[in-house]
Amino acid sequence: MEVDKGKGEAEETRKVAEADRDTVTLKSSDGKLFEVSKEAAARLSTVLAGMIAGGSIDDNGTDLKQIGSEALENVVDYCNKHANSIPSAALISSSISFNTAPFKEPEEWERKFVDRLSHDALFDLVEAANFLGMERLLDVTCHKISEMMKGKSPDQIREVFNIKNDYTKEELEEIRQELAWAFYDD
Amino acid sequence: MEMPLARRSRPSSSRPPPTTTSSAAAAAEPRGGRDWLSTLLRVRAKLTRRRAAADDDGTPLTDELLLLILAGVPTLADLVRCAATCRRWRRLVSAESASLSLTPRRAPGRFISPLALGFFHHEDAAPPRFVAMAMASASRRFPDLLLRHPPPSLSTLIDGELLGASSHIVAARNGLIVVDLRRGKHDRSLKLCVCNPMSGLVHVLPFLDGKEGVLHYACTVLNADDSDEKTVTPPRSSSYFRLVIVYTRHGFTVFRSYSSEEGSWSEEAKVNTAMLGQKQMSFTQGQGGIVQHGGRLVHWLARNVVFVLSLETLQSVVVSVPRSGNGQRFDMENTLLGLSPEERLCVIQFGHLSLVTGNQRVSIRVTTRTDRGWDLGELIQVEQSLPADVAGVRLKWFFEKSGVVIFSVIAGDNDRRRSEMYALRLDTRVVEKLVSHDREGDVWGNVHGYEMDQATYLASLAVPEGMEDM
Repeated sequence: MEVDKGKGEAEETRKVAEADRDTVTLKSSDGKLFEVSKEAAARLSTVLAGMIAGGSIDDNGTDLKQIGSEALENVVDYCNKHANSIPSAALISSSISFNTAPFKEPEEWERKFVDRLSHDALFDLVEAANFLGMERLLDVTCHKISEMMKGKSPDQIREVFNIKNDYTKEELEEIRQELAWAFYDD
Repeated sequence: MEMPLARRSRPSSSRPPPTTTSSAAAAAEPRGGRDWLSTLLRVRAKLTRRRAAADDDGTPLTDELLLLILAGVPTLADLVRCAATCRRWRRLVSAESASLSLTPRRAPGRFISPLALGFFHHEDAAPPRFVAMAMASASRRFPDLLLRHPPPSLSTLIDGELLGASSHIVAARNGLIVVDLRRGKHDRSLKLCVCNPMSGLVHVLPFLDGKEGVLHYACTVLNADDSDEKTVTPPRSSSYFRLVIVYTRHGFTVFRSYSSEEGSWSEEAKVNTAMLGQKQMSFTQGQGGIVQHGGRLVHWLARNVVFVLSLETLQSVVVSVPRSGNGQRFDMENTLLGLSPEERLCVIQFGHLSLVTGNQRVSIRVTTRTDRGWDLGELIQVEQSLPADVAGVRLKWFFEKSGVVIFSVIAGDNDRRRSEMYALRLDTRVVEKLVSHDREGDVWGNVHGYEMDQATYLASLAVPEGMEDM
């Protein structure tokens, strides 16, 4: 009886402690643990927000089996940076001005954040952002990749994406002729 | 029945046109005809079904993520080069062309020659007929278009009851044509219809009649292809269009617009401060307007001036037109308005025009509007491509996006005349003969060049049937 009661109390205490904590622990597919601000995680990721609200966050590390440690580190890094960043004056003014673009241009720190990533890391981060329902991070990473295509030849694009060229010689020649207008340099 | 490219827009049945006359009653429930450029659509439907087949291109990204990336690619040329990398990407770009075309993109900075497909023209009282241009890409992509005999007519697209003897095209751009459906020259009731022959879209606008009636007007049509990175609210559908019109009311130039999303006409608004008189207005009719800066400015060529209207402020100005020939006179019949690849307003005119046998000189000049005024471009000589017995030439149409100029030629002697049509590509300066008629007279009346919209073009990148298994 005594023991059982004690165990129950401990459980209660732990739950309370978890609810009070202002970080959550995430576990990558290869078992590494990362701490992230609960507020930022809930604000930036619809999936994490749902898990936090639904109480399915594990104090010992919530398993994210689809995300490798490098991508998860970048996710956590992005959340923490986002939590610390004060929206720039430009973003505030553009959001109320008449000329708001449909996609809000990345802020300076977001641009720097994606610029330092390798191609592979960038693609992994796109998938992680998609999996976690992080709309803004998905926009920023996809925007970076879209911009990378600017002025690139099909060969250069294949290199970036590691695409196997599955056209025949005849088809390639036909493409060069038919799409000639798009092929010369900007 | 084939799948239309863009969702067939619901005819304006939610707001039926005022049904005060019997012809209006016929229009109250417009029946869309079939799209007559359907070769492309068959190809697309087939590919859509086959998309499920996995093509391994070595990229781990799912179709959904790849599409997000492709949607954000800065220019149309970048997107086309993406489609050229592998089969999977090409399939994605063509199958999802409608959604990919909704992203506002930067101006291409070059002419997109394959957009030019052909031209409509009137002969006598028959509805406008379409002549496909046998230019390289169009004939490869749309062999059916060239082989059709007789050539497709607007009457197979728009219900015959709507088309009258006086029905004529008043604007054509970005894959859309605007047809004035009025029956007689003095019918003040304005009945307009916007169509995309490639997708089968037929949208009859609510009639403006009674006090709202209009005789002379200048108009043009805008759609998703006009949005750029500064566009405030990009359209939600690839079949979206906005028709803008100016006319004279109580001595003022007024503006109205109709958007397919709202399904109604805006109220009349006064245009400041330059005005366009009735006579000038009648001259603009049929040319449509040239749209610049992502749909923020429209230019109409009126008699000896360009009328420029800001769609944001409704401020207007007039700009003089350079004199053609040797700087001696205005030749408005042979003046076309267009845009340079840098999106500057330009005017296409004859530089030299001398048809003396044995010493023919025909050259075309593109004069570009700069901050300093009109900048005379160099002359493009075309006489070497014309028949030796050329007796007359006339500029007919400038294709805004593809940079193609078409002009008609009368050739032969008094006993036997021919009427021919030629195309000049401004980027390569190649001249091609398009079609020849063994007839004299106004064979090429009311010519309107037709360019595909970008969604149709991207859809047309699908691998043609029969090539898939090569």
